[in-house]
Amino acid sequence: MSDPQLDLDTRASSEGWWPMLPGQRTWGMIALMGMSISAAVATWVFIIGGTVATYLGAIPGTAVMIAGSLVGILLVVLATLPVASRFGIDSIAALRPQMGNRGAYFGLVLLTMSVVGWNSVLMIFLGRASAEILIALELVGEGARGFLVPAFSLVSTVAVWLVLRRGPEIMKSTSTLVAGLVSVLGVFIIVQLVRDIGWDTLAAAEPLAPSESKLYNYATGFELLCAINLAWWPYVGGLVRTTAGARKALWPVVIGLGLPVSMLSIIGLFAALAVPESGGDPTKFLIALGGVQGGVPALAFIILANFGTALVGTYVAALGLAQVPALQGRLSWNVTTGMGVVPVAVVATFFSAQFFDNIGVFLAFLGVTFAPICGIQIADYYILRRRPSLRGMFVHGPGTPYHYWKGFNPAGLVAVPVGVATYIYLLNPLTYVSHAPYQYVSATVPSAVVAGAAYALIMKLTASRRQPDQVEESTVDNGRTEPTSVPS
Amino acid sequence: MHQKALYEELLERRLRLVEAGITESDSLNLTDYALLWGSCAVLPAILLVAGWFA
Repeated sequence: MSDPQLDLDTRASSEGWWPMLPGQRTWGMIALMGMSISAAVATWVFIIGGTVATYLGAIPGTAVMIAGSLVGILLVVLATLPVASRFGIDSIAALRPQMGNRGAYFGLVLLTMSVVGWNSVLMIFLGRASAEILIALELVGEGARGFLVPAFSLVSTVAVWLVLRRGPEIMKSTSTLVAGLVSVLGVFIIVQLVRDIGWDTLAAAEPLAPSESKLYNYATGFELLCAINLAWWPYVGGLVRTTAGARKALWPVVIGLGLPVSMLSIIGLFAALAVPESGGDPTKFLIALGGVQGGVPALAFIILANFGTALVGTYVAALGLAQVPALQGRLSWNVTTGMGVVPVAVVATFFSAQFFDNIGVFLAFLGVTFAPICGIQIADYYILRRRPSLRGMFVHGPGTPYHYWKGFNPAGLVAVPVGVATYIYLLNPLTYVSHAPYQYVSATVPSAVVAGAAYALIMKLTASRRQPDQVEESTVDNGRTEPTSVPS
Repeated sequence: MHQKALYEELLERRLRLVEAGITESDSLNLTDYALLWGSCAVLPAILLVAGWFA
């Protein structure tokens, strides 16, 4: 006979409904670094590097990618880390002070779309890599590719779910192992690329289709990496909640999430510069150049890296879904993680071609939406110097700190679209048509700054209209609070 | 009703324990912020200038 109190408390901890207790936040810096690297390193490094090769050569491209990546992770860290690591909460809960208790579900929608989108990309690439290994080893013929790619994508997606069924703790051991292996394989591929192609050839290679404006090329290379790194916004909360304190979490997140993307995107940059038709994916020509022994490590890299990232992504998505009170206690952990993998399985298996045709739209959506969110969180914490109320984030209802207007904070609701409009004015992410001063300031940083300024201004202007307990700490015992939902 | 009361009681207890466990020394201090800005703002600026003239 199980104890319902113990069951509820255990599930609330392990499945991420509530903040983690200090004693449960036992992950050290190595484990967090491993999970961060495992999340960061995936096939997107080929896409990103391949896209930067459109605008920049090897040396400026490398410098710009590292710079953009670091600035992007700075925005995400400033926005989420202080609050998420202080309370042991995920990114969605940390958004409640700025968007309101209901408005924060906007973040959940973004998180879900981002994770499902990226995981679909990863599973499709994983399916392709697995098929290529079998073809390269001549175990199957070329004709089997059409069947093998979706089949491997589906099997891999199911494997992610099966691993996560064992609970969040499995992430710790799996991610550290994956991080170590993909780091070694990534360095191996870079060395192999430089050795096979030659450094002089790479350094002299011209960008594939640059604009006439050197400033535009430079700004766009920077912008791509900056915007891509904002995709870590949903992940950071889920990662740092397991570690006690911001000081322990800071460098594993900066080094583990920010640096590997840029460093390994060099693979995509070099591959695209050397063999433009590769689009940044070195797999095929590494097999052509170095034979099976040359290409298989690259394929193994894709499989391991993508699996590790999809694992962390699905875990983060499950944590986000667990923030919906109506779902707490009604869905098991397996069903919650299943909700994260089913859309991926459907897209990767049946709609991979259509999805890849529109991947530019997806990438555009990331930078446009996450930059203003980071901006309002930074403004709230550092400019308005509001110290979030933990109770306000978890006890909802009229009279609670983050109820605002029916659960929505008008300041956040206005500031985010203002930031989105700023981004689109500076750089249309679908057509890449830009307006001054984009070539000097790019788009992500100004979008975050404008959204943050609009948010701070509206919050200042409306301060007198808010009730005192909506500005200061919550009063949970005033008899006016109510959890929004209770598990049946 | 019993389940609702249990949920509220456990949540309340959880929030109290988390708040009691917060240690200010675990938060980022000025040195942390200086290093963070140095690594993620100053270093990128240097890289951008170096890359431009490379």
